[in-house]
Amino acid sequence: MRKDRSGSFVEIANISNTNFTDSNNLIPNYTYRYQVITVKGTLESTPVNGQGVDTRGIKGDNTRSDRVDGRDLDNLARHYTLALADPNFDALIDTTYDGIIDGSDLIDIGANWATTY
Amino acid sequence: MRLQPPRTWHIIILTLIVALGVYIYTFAIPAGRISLARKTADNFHIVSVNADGLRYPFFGTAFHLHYDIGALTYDHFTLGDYFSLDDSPLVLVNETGEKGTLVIGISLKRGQLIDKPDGTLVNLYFKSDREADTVKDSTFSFSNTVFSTFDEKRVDVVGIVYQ
Repeated sequence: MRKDRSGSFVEIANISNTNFTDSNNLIPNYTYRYQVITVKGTLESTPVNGQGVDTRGIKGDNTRSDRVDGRDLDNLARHYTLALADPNFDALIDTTYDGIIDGSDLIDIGANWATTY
Repeated sequence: MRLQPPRTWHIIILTLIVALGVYIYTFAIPAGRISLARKTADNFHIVSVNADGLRYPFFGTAFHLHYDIGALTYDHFTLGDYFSLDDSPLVLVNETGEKGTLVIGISLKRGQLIDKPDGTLVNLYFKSDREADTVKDSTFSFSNTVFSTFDEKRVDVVGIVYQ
């Protein structure tokens, strides 16, 4: 399970082996919180907490072009003010992981402006 | 009169005074203010978002500004005098789907930083077909406030008062 934008742990995978790679719309350099629960039959373990950071990419590069530039700004502007409940909400643009695409995400673009990965 | 060596309780009191001073400076005294000034001119109700006494260099700010849709309709914005022509910050101002909330973001670009405590960040222009008193009495409020400075990366500052 991974903590979502509203602060709740949500199941992201149910696997039978011991390895799992989370590659679901990850924001670079954001620390994600995870819980692992083992299940056998009807029995469940208590959750084990962990965290992980994807160090690949640049925060603000919401078009995944490995460069923060005007296209990321344009993409942000097109989705500006959208919140989590909106069907057009794009998780890759909400780089602050707060559930709304707003000026705080713009600051992430400014902070890495013209940098490349 | 001979000076006596400091006693333990002298040192304790001095330490407490210093700690209190550090606490007041860090938490009780705001790291700066973002406030609103209002005026009416040329059929517009103009709301200026002003920085006042910033103790950290400015890199960016973001906030939601809630206004009274019964009295005002948002029209456009202009950048304030806090920024020079060379700064050309990234600025986005838009309303949420439900009218009455402006989502505002202003950010410099990597490598830029403005070390200036005061100035107008942005002017917001509203229109109104209501009586002047209705417009004057309409209320504004902030939410989702962020103030960022920059030190090798974005650093969000706690203690900036938005009012």
